[in-house]
Amino acid sequence: MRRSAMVTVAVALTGGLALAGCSSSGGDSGGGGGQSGGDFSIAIESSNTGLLPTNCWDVYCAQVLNAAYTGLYTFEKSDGDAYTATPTELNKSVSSDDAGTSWTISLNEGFDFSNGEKLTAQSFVDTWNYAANGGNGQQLGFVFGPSALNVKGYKAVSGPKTKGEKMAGVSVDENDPMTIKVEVEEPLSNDMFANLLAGPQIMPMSKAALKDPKSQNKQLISNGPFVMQEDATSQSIKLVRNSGYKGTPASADSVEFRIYEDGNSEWADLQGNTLDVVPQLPDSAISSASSVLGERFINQPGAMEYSFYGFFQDSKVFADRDVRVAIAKAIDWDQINSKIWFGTRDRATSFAPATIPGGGTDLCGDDCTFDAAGAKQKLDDAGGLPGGSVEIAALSKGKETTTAVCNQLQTNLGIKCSVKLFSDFGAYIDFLYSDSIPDNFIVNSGWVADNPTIASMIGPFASDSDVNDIGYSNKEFDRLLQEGNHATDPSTQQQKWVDAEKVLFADFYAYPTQMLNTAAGYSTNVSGVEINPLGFVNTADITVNS
Amino acid sequence: MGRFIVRRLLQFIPVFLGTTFLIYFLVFALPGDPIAGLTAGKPANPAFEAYITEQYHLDDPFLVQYLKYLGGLLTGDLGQTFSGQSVAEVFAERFPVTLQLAATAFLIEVVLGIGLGVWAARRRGGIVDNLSLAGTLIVISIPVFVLAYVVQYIFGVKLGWLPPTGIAKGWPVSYILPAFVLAALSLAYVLRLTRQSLLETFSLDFMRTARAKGLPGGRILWRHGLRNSLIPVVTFLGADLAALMGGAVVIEGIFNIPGVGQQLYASIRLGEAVVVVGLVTALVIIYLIMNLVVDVLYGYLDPRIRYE
Repeated sequence: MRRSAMVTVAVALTGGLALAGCSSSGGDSGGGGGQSGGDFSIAIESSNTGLLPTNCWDVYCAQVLNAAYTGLYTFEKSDGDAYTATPTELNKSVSSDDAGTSWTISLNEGFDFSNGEKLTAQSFVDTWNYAANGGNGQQLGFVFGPSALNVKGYKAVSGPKTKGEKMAGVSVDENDPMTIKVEVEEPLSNDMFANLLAGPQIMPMSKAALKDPKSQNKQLISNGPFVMQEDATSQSIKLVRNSGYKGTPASADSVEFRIYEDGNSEWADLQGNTLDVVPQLPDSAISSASSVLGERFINQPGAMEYSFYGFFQDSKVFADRDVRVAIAKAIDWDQINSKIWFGTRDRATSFAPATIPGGGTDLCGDDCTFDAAGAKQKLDDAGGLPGGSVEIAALSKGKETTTAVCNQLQTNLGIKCSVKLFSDFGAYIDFLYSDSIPDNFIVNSGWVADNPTIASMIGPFASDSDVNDIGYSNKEFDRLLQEGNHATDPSTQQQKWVDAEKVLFADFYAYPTQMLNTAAGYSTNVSGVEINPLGFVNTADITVNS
Repeated sequence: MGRFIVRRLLQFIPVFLGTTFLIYFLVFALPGDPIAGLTAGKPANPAFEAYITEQYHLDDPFLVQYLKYLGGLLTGDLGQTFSGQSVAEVFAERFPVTLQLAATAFLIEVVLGIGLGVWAARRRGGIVDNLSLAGTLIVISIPVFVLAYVVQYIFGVKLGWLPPTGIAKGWPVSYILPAFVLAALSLAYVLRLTRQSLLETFSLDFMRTARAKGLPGGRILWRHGLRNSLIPVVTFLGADLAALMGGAVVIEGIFNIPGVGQQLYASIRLGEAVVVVGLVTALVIIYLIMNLVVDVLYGYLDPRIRYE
């Protein structure tokens, strides 16, 4: 079983750590500079994974790790709206040979661990070996495997009985303890290399942490602008400003990550001004968020997440492309987005929003544009819908939207439509991979990118992807995606990916329906709250109002 | 009496085995692969998948999984959550919180419920009587989560008198709102039960005799009246204290209280069988113990009751 050749890291892994935020950049000395002092709180939900970087794949633990660690890259807005992986202050330089397979990373001195241990190239090498080693069972180990970096010698250590073995392709430079050497099997572009090394899995861990990984869930040892002093509990993880931090210091004295089980209680606390930042408002809050919060409601387009509808390639009902397009054209997403989502979602016209380099252009065109009469015409010309009915999947959260879609399909196309409701995600996945799927079933799903690349948005549709829920397969698409992944020239790379995207639209077995916005809010106690399109809060730059 | 208690305690053993078996089976039968749920739809790293599968015996048939779990219990190993925390630790962290919440709710229920019930019964048809009858009717007819959101919004968000969620401010401040909501429904029942039962007792012969003997009013009310009216109330309260602990699932969710209920909800969602089984079994045992305590209390309240 092989994985797709994209970085399927996890629900939005990286970002956050602002390199040098506007509040306190370089020359700002004396007079307190950007340090506002004070304490603030951020809502997270309880993570399924604990706080070990190599095992952190949800946005909640990553939120904490981004504040606590300084890694090699962070996602910053670069040109226009697009975000790219940008070197951190720890990252002195990165270079590669012409082939793009042999990489050298030099580190700056002084970004040492909170337990006093010195950070060297060895810290990275040890951490990456720990992640890749199959015996340790770390979820993010595959970042070093064939689906992503493809480090030399990964296969030899990724099996279950390999405890203690190391990847041949990762080493410390003999002459310089602050330089890491990485050998990869297939060429990578600079951007790709940076994107792959921007998640928590590449955060350096101390020897003490690697010796007793479980201890990290309670007593994190880190090297970032914030460090842990008090033990983490089931309700709160409190980090204080790292007084010995070599880079741009955090503005506030401390940040508390408050752990919630339910978005509604986050919303109650935010309204009561007893919680400062809610990075993702619950659906129940978005109708009133702008009137309650005013300026403090963040509703920015281009969160790297989309919803899509998918048709199984072997379905007889949807065999005709015109039938699939007719369904797409019969749904008025603009109306649904304004009525049900209060403008926190946009109609999708491509798989990648403008926050991704090369994204944001309308590739779907007419096929994704609402036109009730045209849709009906198209369906009639195609000879109608075989069987005359469709069934659309929905999780209980998306019931309202899917019901609205069904109503529109019934009205605009004159076909029968029913909602198939699933209690939770696991049950839905089970169903998708079972044999009991009716021929008229429309998959309704979504995807979150791991990093700002088009590849990360379209990767699930590769033939060999483990998360290709609609069983889509097109050799041409696979080839273009692969070529893009391993092109060393940035513009060739983007062009290949856009071409791959065009193949998806030409086939129209899957098309994006909605682009999600970042819908967040903050209290009157803080300012300078920025949230990147992957959902990460710039904790180091937030100032507490005095 | 001693033999009665021992016999009841021995009954705990089959109940314990039955519950663990049943709950383990129910979690096992939940749809969805725990690993798919864990990775939230992103592909699992094969090494990670293998590790979790082995660690939690996910590949074993149900009976083997269950027996391994029981075997662990015998050696004092309650198992681990998916994030690697030991279940014993989860217990130590979560139970005190829920106990505090339930105890606070119980206190409100007993003091307000019995107090107002007695008041209402003594001044039958008076203001307190009418108000509490109307008030309890409203509380009984509103679903508890509606009450929770309303109370949270008014006192937590709008007025800001009490924290809307969480337990950061400690006992009692953080616990007042959730405990009140948790207690509300039972409070209504206790009040009505106390009032009704007391009114019935008032009309009995011995009460008239007591009054005829010229006993002081307070003594008649508390010693003769209330004590003889309490049996249905105590039955209700006993069963209720245990129910409060379980019923905290909804309340703990809304008020973000890191107690047993919240953990239970999260673990069911993740399919963490060992956590769910451990927590539910503990709740069942608490329920049994409360029942035992109530049965023993009967004897104290009414000496005519004999234990066999």
